[in-house]
Amino acid sequence: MAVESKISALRYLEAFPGKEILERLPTSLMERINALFEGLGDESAPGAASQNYAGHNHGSNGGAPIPRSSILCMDLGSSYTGYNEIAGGTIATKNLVVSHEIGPRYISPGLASAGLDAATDLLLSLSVIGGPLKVWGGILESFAVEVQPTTAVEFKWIALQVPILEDNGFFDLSISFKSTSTSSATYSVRTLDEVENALSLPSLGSRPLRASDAFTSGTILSYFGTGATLDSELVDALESLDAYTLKILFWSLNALFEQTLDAPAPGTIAQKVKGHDHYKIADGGFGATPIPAGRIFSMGAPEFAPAMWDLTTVALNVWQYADKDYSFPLRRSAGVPDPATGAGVEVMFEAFVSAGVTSTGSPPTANPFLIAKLYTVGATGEVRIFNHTTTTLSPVVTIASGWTTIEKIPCIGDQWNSFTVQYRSTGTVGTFKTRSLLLFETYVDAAGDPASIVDSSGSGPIGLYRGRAQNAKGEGA
Amino acid sequence: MNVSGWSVLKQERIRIANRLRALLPSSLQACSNGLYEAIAAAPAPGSEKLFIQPHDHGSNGGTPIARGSHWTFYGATASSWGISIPVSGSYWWKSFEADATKALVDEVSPVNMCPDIPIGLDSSTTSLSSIPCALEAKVRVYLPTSANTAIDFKFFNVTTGTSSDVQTATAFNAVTLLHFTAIPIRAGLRNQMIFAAQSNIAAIAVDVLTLNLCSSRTFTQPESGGALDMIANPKP
Repeated sequence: MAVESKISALRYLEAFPGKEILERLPTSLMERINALFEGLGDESAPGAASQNYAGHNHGSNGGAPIPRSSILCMDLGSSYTGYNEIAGGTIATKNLVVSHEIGPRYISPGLASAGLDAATDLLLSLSVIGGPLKVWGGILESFAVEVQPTTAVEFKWIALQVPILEDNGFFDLSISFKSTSTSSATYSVRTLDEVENALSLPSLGSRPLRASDAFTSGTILSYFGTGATLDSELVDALESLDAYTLKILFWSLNALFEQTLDAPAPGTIAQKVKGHDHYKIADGGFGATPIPAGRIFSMGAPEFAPAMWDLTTVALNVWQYADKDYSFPLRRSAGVPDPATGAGVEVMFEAFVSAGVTSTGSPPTANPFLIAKLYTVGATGEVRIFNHTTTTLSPVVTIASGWTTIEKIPCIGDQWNSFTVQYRSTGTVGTFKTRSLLLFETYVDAAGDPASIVDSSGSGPIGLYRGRAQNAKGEGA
Repeated sequence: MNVSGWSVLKQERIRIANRLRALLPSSLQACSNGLYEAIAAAPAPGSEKLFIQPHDHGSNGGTPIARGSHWTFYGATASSWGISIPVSGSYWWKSFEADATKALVDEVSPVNMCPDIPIGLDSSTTSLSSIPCALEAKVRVYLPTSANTAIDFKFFNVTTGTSSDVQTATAFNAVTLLHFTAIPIRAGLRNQMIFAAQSNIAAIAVDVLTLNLCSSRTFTQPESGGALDMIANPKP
């Protein structure tokens, strides 16, 4: 038996008319197709002793970039007259630019490869009175939109495009305002939602994978399994490509087509194999390695001075809930958390964790895990996040004023997880004012190590998307 | 020269070609190269150009998949999103622009939320839970003491013109966490959404405290056209 997976070039000349089809080509085909099986579904090729290639994950292990919809959403709720402001101010000087740092968001891998051709879609609920303003997201004023003032406060949805210049990491979103007249202009942002969508994708390839004669009559069979393994001994024995080997090559390629695109193999309308959905078959999915969903929860805004939660600590080194100073019904916490386990009281917020992203350690010692960004002002000390669903804790992290990153937050995939944020003073007692909390599933953490992705049993991708620089000859081998 | 693409791999081609002809192996090469590009988003080995559009779980094929949170609200104060219901028996929603509650049968713009819904996630298709594909939400509401015995809540999607499942809170002077699993969606654009409430006996003012609108594998991912996964699929 020799079921092997290997990526090597399949050149047209090796099947050129008149040339005898020898052993090498079918063997290469078998190896290639086994490798595609592994690269697609993140499973060992049927009949193989082990998995050679890692499953694609649309990031570090190959695959096209995919947009993740909302990457930053800030909605504090508000009325027309008593609105809560995410960013605001007055500009009295023509051409003066004022910028606001809104917060970090995770940009999906591969999206920056299109340069200025790809952008996020940023929606603002914006009011401008007094004079006209230019507003833009990110650093490029050339993408600015001019907003005309109203005579009184009136919020309107404004859509901006923010060029994607970097990806596969956390990058701060800034919004800039520039007065375009000598009239003093007062502006306010009340709600914000930034998304990756079709605008964010680089253009790859020139045609879809389909046959021009896709609906001809004939028998289309799809199968890829241990009942017909792609074993090179089939061709070793005959030193040629026989009808049976051809058949199973057909079956396996048709099956891979269906699992890749979730569409019937060309030539038939009856799809047999379910499309992969990045949830392992062994866990109840339809195949392929789980991938992170990006933002799964957000709260508040860093410029919201009243803060979303307040906690005045009463003693040093005592864990307390982040909203303890608030009163019912806004306050979620009650009592004092268990010093060791973090358990004991109410849930503060919920987030849905993607299927397959599970680590229940206290804290997890390895990926996958969640990452939080927390914006606090006031007291200094330490913070931790308790997951009620796993009943385990994140690591304890030292905080200072501004953004703090909390990594290795435990989670259970394919369900809602419930969380509580806990602080303690370690130097002097004081008031922790939490202005914003963002919770993410990401490919990498701050050190560039795997975060919310699941390790593959394979050791390397079948090929890597590298944007415009990907065209090295023979790449992917 | 490498070729990427697809030509139909039907059984009859094998029967006809008693003695193998070059066309068959070259078809296999092309299909294999095409699949490589569709999966890896990289040129087939030996080639310098990506011909095939790689799958992206959206417009270029592949199962549409859930993508985390689509909108999150967290009240800065208890009354940041108050819905004042003037009469029982009909749905009302808070218009932030008018700073007033409106009947759901009246004007429904500007809306409360504009979540982006990715390509392929649409209530016109059936989800893995065998109901139309939809978003889930966890919503925390506060009901003050009142003469009512139940308050109904639902999402109304202005884009689709349809409502979500109705969830009912019955605890007064208390906070209730509601779980919605059938919020209708239309794929490929920002959907305009409203969150509405109705009382059963008397007027009441309720507060929405938190809201997280998410896609999930169970309720948002569409059913596949295939019958079995790759491993369970039987040999022909």
